[in-house]
Amino acid sequence: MRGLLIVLLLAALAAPAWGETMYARASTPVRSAAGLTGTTVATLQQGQAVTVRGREGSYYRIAFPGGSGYVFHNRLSADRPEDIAGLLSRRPAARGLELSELEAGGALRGLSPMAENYAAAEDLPEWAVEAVRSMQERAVTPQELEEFQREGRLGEYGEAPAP
Amino acid sequence: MMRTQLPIAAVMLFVAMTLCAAMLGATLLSGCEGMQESLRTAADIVERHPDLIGDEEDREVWLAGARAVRSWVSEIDTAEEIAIGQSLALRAFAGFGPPHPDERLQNYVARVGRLVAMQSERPEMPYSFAVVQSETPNALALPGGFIFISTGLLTRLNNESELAAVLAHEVCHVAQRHGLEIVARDRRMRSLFELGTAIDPDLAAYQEFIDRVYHRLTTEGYDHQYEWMADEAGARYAYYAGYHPGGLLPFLQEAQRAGRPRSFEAHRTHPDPAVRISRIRAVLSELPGYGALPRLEDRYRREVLERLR
Repeated sequence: MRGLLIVLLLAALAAPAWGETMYARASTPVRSAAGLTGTTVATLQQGQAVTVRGREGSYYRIAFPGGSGYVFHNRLSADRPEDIAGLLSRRPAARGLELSELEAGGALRGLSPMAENYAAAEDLPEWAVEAVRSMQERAVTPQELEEFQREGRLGEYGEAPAP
Repeated sequence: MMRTQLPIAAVMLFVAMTLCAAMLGATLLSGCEGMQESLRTAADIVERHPDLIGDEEDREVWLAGARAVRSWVSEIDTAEEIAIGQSLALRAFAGFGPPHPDERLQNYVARVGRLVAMQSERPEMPYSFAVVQSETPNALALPGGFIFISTGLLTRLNNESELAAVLAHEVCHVAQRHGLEIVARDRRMRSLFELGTAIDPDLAAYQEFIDRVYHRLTTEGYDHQYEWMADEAGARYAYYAGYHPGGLLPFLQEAQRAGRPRSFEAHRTHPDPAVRISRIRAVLSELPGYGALPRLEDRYRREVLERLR
């Protein structure tokens, strides 16, 4: 009984209040119904704010400027994401850095002046510089990530427990 | 100098010792997926949940330490973190050697990594992943989101959920700024220069700074409390991404059977595997229905094991 009360208390603490603002963790399909049978009616961009109107099973019912629908629970965060692309454009330490394809987690392009100076001072081989560029520029598109989850029956495409 | 450093070190030790308890309590308070509270540093934890430390005197010491750490970390913004991370990544490749040339393998690891990173406290970070050719089982997280895993570790894993758990553990070190705290402490002590304008700084000092931080991250590693936090948060990231969240257990159980501390991070110091197993199991007990989640053995065999033969 005490355990049940604790679980209920935690669930109450965890549940967003209806009307609360949440943010897309990544590029996110918005569906017409709470389930995979719902067609995709819109796509949220990473960091896009939505208003939570309710919940059905594992889906939040949401509204956003210009639309509404259902989003799987693990796609939203209560925290407003940092505007890293904007920050990079303003800071001298990041001169030469760009963030692209932000919706898939971001692919970073370029090396900072500090990293370039470090590579030169350490006389690092060109392949090491290229390895860092290649690592950070590897793009995973939102479509590829969706397909990857679908194939593995992960998250929304599998047996993920409801929150 | 020593007069000011010693109390700070003592406070840091106290912060580290109590961090895990605070983290656990805060996690319980913060609840479930989609509503995970962002506990970015030790300072955030104690600031948001000061009642977790009952003794008033202890709480004041804790808060002083937590505020100090937060102050140091807050001096480094994400742009600087990425710039420092790039320098550390260059240093890492110089040590590891070139990345594995199989682009399909690299893409596969990056996708698993992105999925778990999306469930972290900082899903907006540009995490990047690299497979390096080394027979030594090893994984490494650098500030700025640069995460390395060796072929030697990949061949010792059995399925995708285990890979997800390892990568989630590393992502946690970035998402919760564990490495950045090491950077910040070092920078505080040295007071070398303003990194944000360090385009033409004392370059020798910067080289020394990067080498020292890299050495600390790769040989001494993180405090045990940070490793526990990464184990626990990593299990949650994997779970919320849809994986079976017990992916670290087989590796740790093997270490326990071998009777020696062993980890997938090549540090000198590792928490006791038995303690790590126990703590992960405690997390699993809070995650409803995790037993039904996939481990994806076939896909891992096809995308990793068969390609590394």
